[in-house]
Amino acid sequence: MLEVRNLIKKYGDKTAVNDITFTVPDGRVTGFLGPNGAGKSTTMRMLVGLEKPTNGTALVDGQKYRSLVSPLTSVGALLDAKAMHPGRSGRAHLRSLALTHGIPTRRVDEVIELTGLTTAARKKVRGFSLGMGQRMGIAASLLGDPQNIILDEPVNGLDPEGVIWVRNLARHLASQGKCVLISSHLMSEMSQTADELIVIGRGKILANSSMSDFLALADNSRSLVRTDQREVFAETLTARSITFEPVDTDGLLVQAPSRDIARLGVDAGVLLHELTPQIATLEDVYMNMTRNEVEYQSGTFTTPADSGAAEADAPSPWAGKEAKEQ
Amino acid sequence: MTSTTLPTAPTRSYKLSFFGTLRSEFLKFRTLATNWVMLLLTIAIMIGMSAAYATALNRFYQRALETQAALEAGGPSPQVRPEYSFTVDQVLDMARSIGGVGMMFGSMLIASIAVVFIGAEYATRQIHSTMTAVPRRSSIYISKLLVLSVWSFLVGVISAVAGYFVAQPILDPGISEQLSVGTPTVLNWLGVGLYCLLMSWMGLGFGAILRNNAGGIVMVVVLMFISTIVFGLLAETANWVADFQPYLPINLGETMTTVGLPEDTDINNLEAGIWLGVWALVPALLGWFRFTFTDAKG
Repeated sequence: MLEVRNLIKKYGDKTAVNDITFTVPDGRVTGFLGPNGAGKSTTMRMLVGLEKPTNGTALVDGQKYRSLVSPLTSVGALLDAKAMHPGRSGRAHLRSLALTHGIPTRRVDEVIELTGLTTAARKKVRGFSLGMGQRMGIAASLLGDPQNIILDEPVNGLDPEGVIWVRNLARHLASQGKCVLISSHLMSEMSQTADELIVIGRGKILANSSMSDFLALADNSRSLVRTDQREVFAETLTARSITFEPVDTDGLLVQAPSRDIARLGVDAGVLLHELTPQIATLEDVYMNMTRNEVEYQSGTFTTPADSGAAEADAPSPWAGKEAKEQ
Repeated sequence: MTSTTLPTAPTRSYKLSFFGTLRSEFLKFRTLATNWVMLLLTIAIMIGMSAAYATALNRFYQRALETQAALEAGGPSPQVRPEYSFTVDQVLDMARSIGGVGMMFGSMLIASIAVVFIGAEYATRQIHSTMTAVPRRSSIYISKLLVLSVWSFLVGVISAVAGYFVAQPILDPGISEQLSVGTPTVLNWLGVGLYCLLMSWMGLGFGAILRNNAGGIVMVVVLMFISTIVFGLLAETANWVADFQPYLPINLGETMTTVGLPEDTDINNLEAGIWLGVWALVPALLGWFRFTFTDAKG
């Protein structure tokens, strides 16, 4: 079990982690999400004692990392895939870590085989690809068969097979009662791997719940409608004060349960040839939540075609939303 | 990565230990090819310097003999610049310490290896792996210090012994026949080893303080060579500069390993060794502070 209490980390004036508290339970895979610079890696580094918290505590099974009798069997951490001397072979790197705890070389060869590095492990780390570096980091984190596993962006640079392998590994470890904390930017990947979610933005916890509770936060009340008589149907909706917005040339995104919309279509005598409830993905919820929390905001792309269509559509009566705003 | 079954380690509990950390650091040291290349380079340079110095000693010896003969004959001594004029006894003392003449260059390489042994951990971010495995940072630092100490001491002694014996066939038989491996020579060898050991401490200290290979090596070069040159240039300007000059690392190293210091010398071999220890200990201690108590960024 990993535990963070009132954790604060400041670098000069800049607060990287701002008073966060959470627990990562045993037997579950916990996803750690957040934009770049949100404080994920800093938090993980404090958990393994690489950085000292400005305030608060980070505990592993109730103890500070530095006072653990056997750090490698308590926590296996992949924080930085390339945290290796390039002039050493992969096997020598793992052996140097194993020696500190008296872990036999047999175990080193075991984790090498497990991570699929058998052919590469005797070569110098210098020539390793990012994916091989990740596999090395995962191998290192498994050396002591630890109770807690911390993986920072483990699938970064992995091939599809490796991504699936990491997912299965995380699930397998959790099923053995181990505590698994994974950070990732890949939302689809995370939604398939994690049971629990912790979302962090600008050093603050934005959400800490199970995956299903988190997805329930989503706005699932909209439906996509397509019809040949869009203007007629738009008037019907406006008359009932149902909000909507135009999509493409023949679609409407309607804020109402799909069953009600279908009923309206029948009543108004309008043929609806598509009616799709909009299920939010983890990505949608996450994007909504972190929209204002990203430190490095990207520019938005507006295609000329979009704005042209909007202008042409403006006088039409089905631009109900705009009409109402006036 | 096709298998998803995890062979778990046997339940026997593994524990972090200082001895394990020491073995780990030794493994890290010997698995880098650079260290082996530098080792051979160091020994080669030190042996080469001894061999070259042997030819110089032969010339000094000839002059010493000529001077002696001229004095015995009652004539004036031949015109020789005073710094190249030695008595036969002095030449013999110099020959007894011939194994250590390459020490200054050898120890420079050794100190550089020491800087890199810790600086490269930061440069390659290996330090994150190291400190995650061993959160008790003092044990890492002390392990590194011990590995370097033993290694640099042995390299120093082995090079000095090898240099001594390689020089024998080159030396004028008049010199070599009067030499035997006795206490002064053995002390010289040990002194060379000790000097190399202390310079490795200096290197490790600066590597840990600056967390940078180039910066650490520059600091060592400044302290060992540049300071000696600058003090030499300024020695005439102020008394304290001249007074301090013998206490610079290189001069202390010379003094410590010299065979046959005059009785009335200001600093004897032992005192030189102690002062040199201070030069080495201060950076090593500061490095330990920085290594142990500040965040491992870099």
